[in-house]
Amino acid sequence: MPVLVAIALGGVLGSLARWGVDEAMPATYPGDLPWATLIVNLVGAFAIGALLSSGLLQGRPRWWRPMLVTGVLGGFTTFSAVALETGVMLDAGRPAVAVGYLALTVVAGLAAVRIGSAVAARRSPA
Amino acid sequence: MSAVLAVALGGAIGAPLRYLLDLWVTRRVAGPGSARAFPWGLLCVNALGSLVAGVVLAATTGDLRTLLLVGLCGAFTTFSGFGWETTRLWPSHRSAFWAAAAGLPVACVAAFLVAWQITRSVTG
Repeated sequence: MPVLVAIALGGVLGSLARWGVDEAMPATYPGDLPWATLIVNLVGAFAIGALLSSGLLQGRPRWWRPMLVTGVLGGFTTFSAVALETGVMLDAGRPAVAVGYLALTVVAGLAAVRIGSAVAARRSPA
Repeated sequence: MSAVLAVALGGAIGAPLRYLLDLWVTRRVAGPGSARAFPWGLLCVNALGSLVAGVVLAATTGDLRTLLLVGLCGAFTTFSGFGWETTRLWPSHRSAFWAAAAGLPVACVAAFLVAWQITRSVTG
């Protein structure tokens, strides 16, 4: 499968899954933290760490990585929503929640990547 | 058009566009050293997507907003890619790690806010 087609297909799946989480969760934002985006991004961050450290992609067809990593996980997670939500909260006069949300997303997100990597590496020693 | 189709269409366009822009930028800056190790491609992708999100939020409604905001911008930008590229910098490119972890998110929020405020003032 051509790389761009694999990425587009993965992007459709990832975007629909993200939208599904958005729709399924009660609207908390901008009164409270945007939990749907936070959950999506942390799950996606854990998954990319786990997937790329697991060896699962080794020996697979060439389109597996672009479809799953660039397409599905890239399309599932989002930075534009984080920037939008943070900006709207700043504009709404809630700077502490806005900065807290951005910092929580980044710190917990980077931790989730490392935890995903560690879990995968333990289960499938290289 | 239904919202499901709008999200799917935006995702089908946004994800390949992200791949192409990230690849184009990364090929131009790749090399040894922390300055080159910094994820410039992901900075461009995420800041540009946040900028477009600001315009879209101020200028559109309904299914068009869903297509462009949730589908296109949502899939064009990526948090998982940012997390992966940034954590990889920690062992040997500590300054690039801190620049990416702190600077990239701030740049995206700034890009969104500038685009949103300007578009809001133009569209009234």
